[in-house]
Amino acid sequence: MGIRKKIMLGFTALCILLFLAGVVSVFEFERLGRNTQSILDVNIKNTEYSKQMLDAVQEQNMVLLQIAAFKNHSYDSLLYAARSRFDEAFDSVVMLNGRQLQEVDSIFTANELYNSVIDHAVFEAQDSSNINWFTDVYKTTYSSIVRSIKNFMISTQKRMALDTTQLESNAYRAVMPSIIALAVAIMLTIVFATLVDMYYLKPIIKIKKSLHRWLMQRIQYNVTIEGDSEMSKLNEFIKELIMMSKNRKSE
Amino acid sequence: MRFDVIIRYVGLVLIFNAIFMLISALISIFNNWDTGSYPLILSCAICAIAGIFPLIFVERNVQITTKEGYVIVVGSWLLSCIAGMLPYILWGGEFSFINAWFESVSGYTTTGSTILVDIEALPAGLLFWRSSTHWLGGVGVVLFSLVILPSLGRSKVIMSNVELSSLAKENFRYRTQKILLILTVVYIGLTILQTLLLKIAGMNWFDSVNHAFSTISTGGFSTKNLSVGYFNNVWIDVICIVFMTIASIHFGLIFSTFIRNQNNIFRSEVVRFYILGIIAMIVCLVLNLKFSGNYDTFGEALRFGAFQVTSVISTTGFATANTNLWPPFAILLLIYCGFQCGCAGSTTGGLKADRILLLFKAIRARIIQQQHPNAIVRVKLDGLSQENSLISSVTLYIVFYLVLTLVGGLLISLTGEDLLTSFSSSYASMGNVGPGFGAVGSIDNYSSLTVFAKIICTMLMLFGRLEIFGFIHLLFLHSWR
Repeated sequence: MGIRKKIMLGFTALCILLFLAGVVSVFEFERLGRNTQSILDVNIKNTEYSKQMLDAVQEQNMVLLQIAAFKNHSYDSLLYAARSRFDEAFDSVVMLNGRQLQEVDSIFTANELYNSVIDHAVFEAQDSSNINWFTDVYKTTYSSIVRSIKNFMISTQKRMALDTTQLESNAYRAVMPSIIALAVAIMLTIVFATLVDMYYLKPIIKIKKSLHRWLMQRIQYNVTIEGDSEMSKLNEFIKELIMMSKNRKSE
Repeated sequence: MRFDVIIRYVGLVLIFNAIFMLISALISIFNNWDTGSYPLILSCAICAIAGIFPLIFVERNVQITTKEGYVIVVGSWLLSCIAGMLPYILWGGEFSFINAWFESVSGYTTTGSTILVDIEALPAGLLFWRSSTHWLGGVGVVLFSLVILPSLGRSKVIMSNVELSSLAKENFRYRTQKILLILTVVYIGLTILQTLLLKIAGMNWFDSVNHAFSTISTGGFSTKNLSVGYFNNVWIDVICIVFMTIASIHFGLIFSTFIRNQNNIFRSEVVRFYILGIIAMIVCLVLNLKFSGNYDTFGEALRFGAFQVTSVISTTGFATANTNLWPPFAILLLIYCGFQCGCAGSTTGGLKADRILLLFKAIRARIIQQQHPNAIVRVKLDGLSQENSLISSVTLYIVFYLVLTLVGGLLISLTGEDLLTSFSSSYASMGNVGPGFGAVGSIDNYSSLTVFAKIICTMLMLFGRLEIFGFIHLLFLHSWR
């Protein structure tokens, strides 16, 4: 392989490594950015949905009180509307990779129970104005669903803190491939420089010095370069040239 | 010392690493581009480029000096360990920088101790890469690359001096070039045979290959959290016991036995001592386990006792039982196994049965000499008189080995580990055994150790693998003439 090819290959290898480092960095940061955005979006949305669910439950509570106080079923539509808003918010909750499954399950169960208690009271002529029913049955289920939603909210907030910590570690992971590729590229650059110096620069300097000595002081040209490279061929040609020059002078 | 020659051969080793990374990456790709594919592809590209780079400039067919040979071997080990970290670091998970270094060194030195709490969480490609580091390390990364590369001449002889213990060459009378070839043939042959037998016994192909890689290299990495115990299969246990024992015998003698050479395993005094020692230890262990109530039947005690003895003495480190729950006698017996280990000329670590036998013989000769001061008492091994210089070097090696283990244990104990954990992790690392006792027991791992303790363990692994002096020479290169 000639000098030109060798040096070209050396630079190509370095370029590939640097290109790899660059591509990997861009790819990793792009992915990190996407992940960060999606995780934050999920957490923010879930907090919002929790608030909507809490509002819907409180509205149902208010409507139930109105129904109990005024014995008027014209408020039923308000109850349905609040329930529908609750269902809509609940259905929109996002569980990233099955996380918070337990909390969501808990809301679902509490809501089923809460709905059945209200339905029983409103539509099946249960005496919803009875204070014992209110404290023993209704208040328990109401507290249960509110607690479940609040637990979900707290869990979402905790999850957000955990995700932030995770993202820190992900950032470290994201830069790692490019750091590795760069470290290898730097190492190869040093090796490349050493090899170029060893195989091309030093021989050229040696040839130059020896030629100079021969030209100025007629000190014998005595450079040896091992191998079958272009440098050794150059050295051989110079020797032949000097020999020819000597022969001509002697003639 | 010629820098260019050294980096050329170290580069070749990197290329071999890159080939195995590529195979691991292909496994990941076929496994629906699992999470291991990207780290493995990237690591493969980096290793391949770094490995090919010196080949562009440095011509082949160059003669190398002993000093250069040493630097190439030790440099290749260290560089392989560094290259082996790449897929782990890039994958992430439980692999911090130090954990990746530990896992890589443990793989290449065929120690088999892990920092992973959940091994099964690793993608298939990375599991294969872990086992590959064992397999590559087992035969010696450098040795392996030199045997199959036809471009080398005298250099083969020089390099093998570092990795083969001097005893391995003393008791086996082949030319070094042939030893290298035999090593490869026996190594690959045994791996294929064990893979097939494990498959027949009930493992799937993937687990069979991985466990065969670990067994023949006497490494110990498993694809399961519960190691071989996960399979709970007597036949798998038996196959592993047989192959762990075979893999800890001089590979040249195994080859000689196959080609019906006179110099075979049945005639070798060292192998006789080693096998009889294993049988004696199994008998003692079985009786101890049965009568201390650890196992209800002799059959169970034999199954688990025999497995653990061969696993530790061969320095493989597989586990089928929690040895932390065993009585003190059994634990001490296993600790002795972890010091003695297998025969020279195999891939085991530790002091080697050859040295222990020679030590016993030297002690016996010393006693006879004291009783008969005028007698000329010779220490013989396989009918051949051993030189005093060899006996002195064996004794010196054993003392140095014990001192290093002690110092390692002391340093680990500084990090707050208990006595059993400190010293067992030190001897298990030094002997390339893998699991120790206490917090680093047979079904536990090294994840609980501090960063400092992990660094000490990896240093001990490298010292043990390169027969101590091979590593120490690197530190005193300037004074080497």
